[in-house]
Amino acid sequence: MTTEKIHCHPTIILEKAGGLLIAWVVILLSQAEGIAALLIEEGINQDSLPLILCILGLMLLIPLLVTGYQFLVWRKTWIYMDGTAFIIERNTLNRKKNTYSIAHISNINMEQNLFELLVHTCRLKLDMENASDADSTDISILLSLQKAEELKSQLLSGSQGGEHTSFAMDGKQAESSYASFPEILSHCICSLPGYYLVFLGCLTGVLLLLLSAGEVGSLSDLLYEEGEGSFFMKMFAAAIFIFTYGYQIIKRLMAFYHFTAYRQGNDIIIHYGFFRKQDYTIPVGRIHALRIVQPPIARLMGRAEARIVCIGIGDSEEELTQLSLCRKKEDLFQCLAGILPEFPASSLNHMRRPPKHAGKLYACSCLCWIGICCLLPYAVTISLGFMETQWDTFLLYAYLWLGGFLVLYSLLRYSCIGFYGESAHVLFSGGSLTKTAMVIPYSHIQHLCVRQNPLSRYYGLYRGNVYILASVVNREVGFSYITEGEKDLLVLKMKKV
Amino acid sequence: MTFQTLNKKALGCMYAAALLGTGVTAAILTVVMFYFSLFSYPILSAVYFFFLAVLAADGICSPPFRYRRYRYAIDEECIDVREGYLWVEEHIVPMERLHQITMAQGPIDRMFGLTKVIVTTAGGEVTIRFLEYEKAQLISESLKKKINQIAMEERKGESQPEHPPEPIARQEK
Repeated sequence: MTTEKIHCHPTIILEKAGGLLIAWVVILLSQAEGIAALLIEEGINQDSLPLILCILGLMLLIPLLVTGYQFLVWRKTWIYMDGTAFIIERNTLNRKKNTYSIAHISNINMEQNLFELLVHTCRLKLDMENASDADSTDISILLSLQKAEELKSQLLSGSQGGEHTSFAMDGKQAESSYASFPEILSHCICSLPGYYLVFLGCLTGVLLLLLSAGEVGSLSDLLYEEGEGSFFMKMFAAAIFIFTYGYQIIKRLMAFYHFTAYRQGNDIIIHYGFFRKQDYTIPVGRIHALRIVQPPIARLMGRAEARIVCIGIGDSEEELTQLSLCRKKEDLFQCLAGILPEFPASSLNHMRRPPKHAGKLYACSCLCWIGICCLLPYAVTISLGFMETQWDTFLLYAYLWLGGFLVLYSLLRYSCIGFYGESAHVLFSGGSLTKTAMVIPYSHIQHLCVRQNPLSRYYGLYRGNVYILASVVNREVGFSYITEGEKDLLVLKMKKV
Repeated sequence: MTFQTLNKKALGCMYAAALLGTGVTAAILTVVMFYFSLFSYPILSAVYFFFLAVLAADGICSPPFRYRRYRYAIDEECIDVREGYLWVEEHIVPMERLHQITMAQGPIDRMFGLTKVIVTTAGGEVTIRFLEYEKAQLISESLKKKINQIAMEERKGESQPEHPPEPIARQEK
């Protein structure tokens, strides 16, 4: 392993100072007229020369200072490896030496934006396997493509005790998940989030309520109300609403461009991106859970997508955790069995239905929520005299609609719950519109919390959370209603592994 | 696994914490009701008094139940903490996942000479509350020893991979 000290690529100076320089140029351009007037007014002669030089000096001073400081930072920052440690040393005004253990690298990402694509550099992002800074990338360095490849290979062989072999060397590739354009497009449509559908449902519901309450005569009345200007405003609002979703689809199409995931020895390699290329290398041992997600449309079409839970991936919006895009469930299980056999996703087929009495608990919870959200506010509105105004029908329908929604929501949640305990993994499923199943090895469960309310205690059922090493969003994995026997099995397996 | 119960001092601490919480909530609610002149609406006044009654009942009744229900157990394999009143929670932490042990005291804990031990895993924290200081120290020390022992065993395993681990059945004997 080389101990040669290297610098980041010099273009990092441009990247770091670029934003400020552009801002400075914009400020100067906005003031250009005033400066030009001042110079014309003074004229170029011996008396005005100091003033002109002063203005020009000021114009250049700030860019020079910024670039100079960034140059100094670049010149004084060294990157090197020392045995099993990866070191970044910065000897500027604030001296800093960060030493990272190579054995604890969670994943390596080679990221390229458009500028980096043009100058053949890439940003090497490393994440460490620890909980304290699981929500931010630990190391981000800019290197030339060749140097980044070399360093990545060295880091991987270091993290796997010198056993790492590159794809070119071993020459075989396990099952891969390559997504063509139609597949990416279908993924973008199928993975339409549930809240979007709920929003559309709410909008339609309110419209129907207004129509049924007689507040609006017909749809054309609603559009043409208060003249032509109002009509155009409404059409404009609708267009914004549609284009926002269109923009989201295009953005995701670009993000998933050339999506490929494959297995290379003990690493999972994931590539994707058009404007911002991502190239992840994730040691399989660093994957803490596999998440099978079925958004509402995908559920209707019998499709599902797979995501991984791993420290460092998903910190920013551009970093997507997908291991496979939305595809038919059978195809997905087959693909995952090839790429990631350590996480038996096909066991989802063996998941048991909700336990006995779980339905009663859901019904009870639903009734409580109806009481809090519908009956209590209804009583309050009656006492405040709102039910004697023109809004009485509207309010009544709104409470009924909310009650109906709560019942539907409870039914959906009930239909999603599932549990399956294997010899080495546990599988939980839950959700409402979007169904999510988690496959977690017992060895990756950090601790367990189970809860019981008086009724579930009576029926001997538990709900709770398992905690895994992941970013804050993924750290708690909730599960609904398992039996006493299932809880004991979970505890036993956690202890034994 | 033998569960330990709490010292009588814990009950006093629970009462103090519950009454303080109830008092603060009631004060905030009363200020809000006055500020927005909500007492003029009979139903809101009724809801307010009902809520206050529930709060007071909870402040008075919950500590004995919580005290009786609270128990913890620490053995060779895991830490188990059970707590709650109407909603009961149980936290189970396998010994091998422990990363950090912290002892902490809040002002009410200090008044009653009690301490909490916070055990941290890579996934979060679990707290054993209302422990006497000496007992908390003992627990903390024994957990520290266990963490060190596990870390040493792991290091040994990493440096000597040619020796296979003992079968689980033999270890149990």
